Amino acid sequence: MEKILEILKELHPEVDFDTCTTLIDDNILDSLDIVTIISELSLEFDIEIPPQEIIPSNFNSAQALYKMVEKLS
Amino acid sequence: MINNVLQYLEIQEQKNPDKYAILEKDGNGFTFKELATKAREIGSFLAETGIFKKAIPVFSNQSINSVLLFFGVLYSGNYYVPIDVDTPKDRIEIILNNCKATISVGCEKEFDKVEIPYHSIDALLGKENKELLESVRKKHTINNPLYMVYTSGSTGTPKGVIKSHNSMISFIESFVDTFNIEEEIIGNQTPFYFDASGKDIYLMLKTGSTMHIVPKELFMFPVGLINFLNERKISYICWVPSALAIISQLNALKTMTLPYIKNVFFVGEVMQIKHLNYWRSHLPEVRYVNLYGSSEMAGTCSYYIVDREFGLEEKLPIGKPLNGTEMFLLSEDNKLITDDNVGEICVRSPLLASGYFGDKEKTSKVFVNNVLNDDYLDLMLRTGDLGKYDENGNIVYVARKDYQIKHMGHRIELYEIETYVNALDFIDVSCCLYDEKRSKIVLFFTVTKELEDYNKEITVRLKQKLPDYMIPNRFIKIETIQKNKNGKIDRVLLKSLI
Repeated sequence: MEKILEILKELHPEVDFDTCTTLIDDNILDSLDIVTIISELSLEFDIEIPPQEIIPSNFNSAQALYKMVEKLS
Repeated sequence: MINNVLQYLEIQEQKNPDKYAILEKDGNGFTFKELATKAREIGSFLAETGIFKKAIPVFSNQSINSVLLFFGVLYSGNYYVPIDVDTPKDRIEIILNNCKATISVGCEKEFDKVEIPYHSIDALLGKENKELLESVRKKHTINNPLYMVYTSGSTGTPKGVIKSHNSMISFIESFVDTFNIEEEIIGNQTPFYFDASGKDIYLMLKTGSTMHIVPKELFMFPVGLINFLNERKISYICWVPSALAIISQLNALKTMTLPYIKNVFFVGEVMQIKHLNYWRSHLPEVRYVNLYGSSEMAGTCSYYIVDREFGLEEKLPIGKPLNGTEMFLLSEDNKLITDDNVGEICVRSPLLASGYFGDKEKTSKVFVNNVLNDDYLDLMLRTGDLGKYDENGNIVYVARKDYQIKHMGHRIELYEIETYVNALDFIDVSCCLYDEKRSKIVLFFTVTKELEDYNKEITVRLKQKLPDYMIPNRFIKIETIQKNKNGKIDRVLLKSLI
């Protein structure tokens, strides 16, 4: 979880990722962020994220990302 | 003879009145007839104000109304200045002062970021004043301005590049001719406040093609994006490479395909070979075209049709000029380069822009008389890009002459970001560099005051001044920023730290 927060903080230092659950709904993350997150998660956790998992609900919060990573690990 | 882009619209209005010109995701759209009729209503309103041949800012978003407003402005005999509605207020003020706007229009009902009168689209629609529009048209010449876009400037002030009807007509005629394009279904990605969208808009007008606005949020979610392109049977896309790269980075073509796509054009930045190879391996039948251009022209001036496999270390050529355009390379001492030496890319063509608004000095440095011709007027553009010929006579882009970069399809002067960072009270010295490999703007800085979270503070403060694409992606705080022997910041040394 810490690693995920670190990746997100690097992208948007101004956002409080511990509490935010509307990263997509409130347009906080853009497409370039999504690509960066996916490539960094893939490297860090040695997973492959299939296109079907790249949906808004998996990217709305750090917690949701954590759950997705756990599922794919 | 076509001397006004509105004639394209009027031709389609006659030929394809009930065909959709432009469509949004939820099915909202304008047919060619609706687009022309409504644009004439807006044009009548604006013409009745008496303003003629002036800049009218259009606060645009990714909607069909933005395009309608552009044509409305044109019918009034004025030219449009597209500006992103989300631009910070300070920047809007600089732009409006620079272009001397006295009236503005936009898609939003209300807009509180301007001091001058603002009219929403609903207020502008009404009755057509046929006589007035006719008299406006009579005064028109092909050299009149069509639109102006602001790009990042080196002194911290954005600069406006102004383009005439002539430049866009020359571009679109030669584009359609070069690629033999008749009728397509266009999938528009580039936002309408972005210069590159002109290619989609005028291709739609010239060929009577329908343009579908691809919703921005789909570029995050590949399954939705591919479904959209297939539902709309999109056959032609002209996107920035980073948008195309999203498909490959997310491996979206692993389980899905794009059966309708015939043309994939890319423009605005360097296309990475690994992404191109991904596309080509999944969709081998498609025509892939690398386009090259700059803000100082309408559309683009050269192209390379990908005709072979490229290795990861190879550079994709920017190729050869469009039909009716000439390009050549000049050495430092203004000699024509014919061998494989590096030189500045220069362009002779009717598609060139009309210079930088209100800046004769800068204009005369970039738009010059052909240095190889002393005998008569012969306009030539110095692009500021360096290039060289490959063994097949294609031009290959090498680098910018100065520190200007291309990031997410936007042209950015790194100095401009530094100007704003340096203005922050806790910053001592800063230096912006571009990490081409990771496509990230990297900011090095030294401080005068201790703060808890520099990255956050800088980001928040810059966002009040600059558009999002100009916000650094990586922050590196260091003890000292070394100067080189000329007393300038040692960028080479800093670059080695990235």
